[in-house]
Amino acid sequence: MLSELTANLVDRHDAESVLRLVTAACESLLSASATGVLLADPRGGLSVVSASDERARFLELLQSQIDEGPCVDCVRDDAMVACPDLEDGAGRWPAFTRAALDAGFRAVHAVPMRLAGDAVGGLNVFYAAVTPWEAWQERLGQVLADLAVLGLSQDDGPARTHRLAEQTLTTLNDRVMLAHAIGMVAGALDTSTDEARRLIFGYAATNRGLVRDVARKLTGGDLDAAALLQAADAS
Amino acid sequence: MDGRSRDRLARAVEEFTSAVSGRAALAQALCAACLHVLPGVDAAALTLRANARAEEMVGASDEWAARLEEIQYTLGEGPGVSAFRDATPVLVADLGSDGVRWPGFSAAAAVEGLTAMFAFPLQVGGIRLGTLDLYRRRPGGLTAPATADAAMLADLATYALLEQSEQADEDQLRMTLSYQDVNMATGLLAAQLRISLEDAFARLRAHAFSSGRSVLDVARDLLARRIPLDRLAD
Repeated sequence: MLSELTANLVDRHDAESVLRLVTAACESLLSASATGVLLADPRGGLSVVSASDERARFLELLQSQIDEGPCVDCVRDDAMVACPDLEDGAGRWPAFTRAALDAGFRAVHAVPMRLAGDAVGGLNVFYAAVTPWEAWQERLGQVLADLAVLGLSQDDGPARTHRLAEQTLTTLNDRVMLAHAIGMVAGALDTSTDEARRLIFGYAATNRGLVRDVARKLTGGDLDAAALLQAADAS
Repeated sequence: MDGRSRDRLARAVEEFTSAVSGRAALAQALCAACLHVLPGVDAAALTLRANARAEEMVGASDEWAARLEEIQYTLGEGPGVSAFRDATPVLVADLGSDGVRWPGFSAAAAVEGLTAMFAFPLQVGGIRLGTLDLYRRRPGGLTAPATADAAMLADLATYALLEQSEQADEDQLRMTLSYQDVNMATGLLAAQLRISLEDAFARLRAHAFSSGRSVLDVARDLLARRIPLDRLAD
């Protein structure tokens, strides 16, 4: 799992693919119920750049952390925030805790994503049951958060934070573009959005291409949704 | 990387755009704001493109920038055309050494005294409105902070242009676009009605507004196929 991630980093990669692998690693290695990555949006606040569960309820929960929440604290204090049992944490973040419990979560851990000594975002790992993290889980969580930052910014030197600001805008745009592409494929093939998402990722993998490029071609009219179906049938 | 630089840029944009009305005047004011904020940029143009071949120039800081836009359109090549087509910023510190990529444009640019150019797409996901093109007479790249500022200005311009047509509040627009259900529904609508993503998004918002519901609720209904498409086909 980790080797797939690092191989992806040294190979040609896009932020979407790396973040998806980080999310998958959280589920398989840390047994997470759901994962979300938030980055300091150059436009202000924190924005969701990746989520294991794209349903509105989970996204709203992630994005609700504008004023309060474990990720806000984790970025502000540049430190890991552990909340093994949300029912004990209600005093700290009342609105977030209520929303998280309502969404079926009982625990959350927020790991800072660091670049050049500053926290630029957070990896949020949710659990349906009470879940304290042991030391090895904390270390692994930090490794995954570090890999996510690496995937977003591979430049060296002082230009990095500025590059990351640009990259964050691009990543946010890519996220919207992927959703546009998913909707277009679902509409064109009259299928579900889950199936459309699967077709897009499958097409990118089969052609050893980037998800972002497939989404760009679909939304730009340079790739027909039917071609995804043919490729899926052929493989 | 916090909101401070965004607030500073938003204030600069606001200063230049607050008194203007109409799309062309807004574009012109946005170009002026870019020149004011970005060091080392001699001229700016904001161009709206429906596709790589058809374009409508909406604003330029001077005649020179307007002419350079015109040249790109006529030739169908150049950093602005590439930035729009590839949906990614195209930064060229020395056009002379990049002559292979845009042979026609590089030759014409040399005649015009243009040596460096930076093009940023105006886009929200697959909704691509056009490009912000920044021109420079002397060779050399933008500094890293100026590049980040330019990317942010392109983003602010995109939202200003989207708002212009719908008179929505920027924060509200941003929140709406953070919902993937809204974006997927926009794509679904575009594919099924064979319209652009921009038009599909506009119809989604118009339908929500006229039925007194949130854009997110309407989007979810569309994805669940609970709203017949012809209700939004008008």
